[in-house]
Amino acid sequence: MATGSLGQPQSGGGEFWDWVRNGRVFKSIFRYSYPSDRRNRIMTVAKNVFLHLHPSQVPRGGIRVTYTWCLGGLSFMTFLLLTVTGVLLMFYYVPSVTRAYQDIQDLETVVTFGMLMRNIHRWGAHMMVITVFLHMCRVFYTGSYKPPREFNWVVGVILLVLTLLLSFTGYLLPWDQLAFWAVTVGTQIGGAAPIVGKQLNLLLLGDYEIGQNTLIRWYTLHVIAFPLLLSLFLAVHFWRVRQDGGISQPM
Amino acid sequence: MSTSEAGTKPALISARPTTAESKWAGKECPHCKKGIEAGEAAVLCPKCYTPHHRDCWTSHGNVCAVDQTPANILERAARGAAPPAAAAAPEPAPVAATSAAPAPARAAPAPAVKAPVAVAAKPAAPAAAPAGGGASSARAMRSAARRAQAQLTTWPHLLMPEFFSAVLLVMGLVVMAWFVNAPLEEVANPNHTPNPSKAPWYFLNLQELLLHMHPSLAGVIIPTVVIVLLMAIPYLDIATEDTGIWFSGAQGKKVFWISLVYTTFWAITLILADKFIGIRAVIEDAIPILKISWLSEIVTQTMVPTAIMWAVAVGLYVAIAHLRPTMRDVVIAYFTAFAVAWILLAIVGSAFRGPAMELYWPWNMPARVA
Repeated sequence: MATGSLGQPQSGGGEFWDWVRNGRVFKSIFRYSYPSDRRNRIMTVAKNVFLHLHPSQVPRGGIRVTYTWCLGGLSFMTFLLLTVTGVLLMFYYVPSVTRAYQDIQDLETVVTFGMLMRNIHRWGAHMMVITVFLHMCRVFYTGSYKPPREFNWVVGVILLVLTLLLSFTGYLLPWDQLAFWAVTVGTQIGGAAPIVGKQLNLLLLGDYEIGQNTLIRWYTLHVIAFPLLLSLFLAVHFWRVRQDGGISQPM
Repeated sequence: MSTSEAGTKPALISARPTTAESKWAGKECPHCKKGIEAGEAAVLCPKCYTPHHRDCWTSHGNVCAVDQTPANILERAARGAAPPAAAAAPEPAPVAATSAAPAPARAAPAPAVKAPVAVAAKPAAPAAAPAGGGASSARAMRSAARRAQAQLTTWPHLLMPEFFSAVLLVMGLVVMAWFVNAPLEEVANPNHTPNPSKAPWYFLNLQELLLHMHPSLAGVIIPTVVIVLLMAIPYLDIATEDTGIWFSGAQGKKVFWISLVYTTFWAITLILADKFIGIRAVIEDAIPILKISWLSEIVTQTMVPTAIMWAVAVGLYVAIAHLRPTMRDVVIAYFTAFAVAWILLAIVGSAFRGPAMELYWPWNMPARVA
């Protein structure tokens, strides 16, 4: 069953492409022929490590664009884009109070496409906050949090919080007036917590005021800790979408 | 599936487009004695599997020409018209039949469950029987539910829209990044405070609250309560009849609009009241002992704002009470209140707050002293 269509020759698209698609290299990579019939379409999705996040078949009503507005997918795509541009920015940025601001200026003026990368990263970060929030609204207003999907809604709320934390920790890194004072205001809010406020503030800042200790903490959280945590919860989120019955549908 | 009840009622069969690969392509239709060619709609007798033209089947009294088995053709909206290439392989029997079956039973406790049944029955129009009542309308509903739940292959029906939305997203961001530069101000200077100093826009709603109440309440307690309540939603509203229906139908939509108008009104009113009346100052002037610092923190900065927020929250329930709201309606009302307040206060904080966090019209906003 699993190897059923391996041997069937494929045609269409000219001799060269026939030769490619029926060659040993192509079939060693993709296993299944170009997915033009139902069986191959199902197998292609089920047997591919990236595509198998999806079920091989989906209910017609569940994938209407006016039902999902693609918001979950857009949030994930934005996260991927932020990861790629973020890694490129890390090549040039040193989280030191004496260098950080100069590194950002160099990114903008000296590094090829540095400005573009920084801009995509900045606007993408705003975009992700918006798409995640709208995704939550879509899921809420279609009643898609109802049993058996309760826990996945909780995971979604955690992902929203992590998105906000990721965005906020990144806000400090350019080390300009905007960054410094936005974070001052933000951490004063956190420092107002009853009883543990002072300790919490010390934990967040690594000092009594924002300085080198704060910058390295927030940088580490921004580029390692929060992305890893977010990926972890994303994995649970995607897995549970499948486990809890796929995309929600009217009964 | 339906053949099991064929003892008295005719079975339901579906018409399928014929393609060159169809098993019945070229076979002779026993009614008209002509071959069934690619592109023609065909049906198979549910008993002997003899292929017939779809139109021959219906014009000969919906029976098989070989063994006279009666069967009615299931009408599928638009599906049969799909180009043959897209439906090269015949559709497998929908898995949904069993899960769709209890639908009519669930419709029984009618008043509580509003919209879902009506929505599910919408596409059933032609098949819905006039007189038969129970059995035939149940069948119509079942076929409607089955149609709604028809399965499509993920490739290309889901992956292509995903791919194109991803491409559009990347293009949109690159275009924006090309023309609009990310802000970069002077290097950080701890000795020089810009006026105003604002948090990122998505926290400006909290910073707005900070202007009106004790920092613990605005910055810690309210966000924590909101997050906990958000997480609690699916454990409060557990009815599943209306899963997958926008606003759960007409009443939910009404609740949404009431909550939207109500929250907008009160958010703006309270912001303006705090500026022009200054409720907390009025109370402290009336009862001077409250001006003592720690009493002020507890009473005027914490208890008074909390009481006002409680009153507004209870008022929201009163505003929808005449609709005899279900749990879902209540949850819609409060989630909408949260979402609207969150967005509205962020807008006020971004566009209407100037130096010293005073209110200004956006077009009169003094320049920020960086």
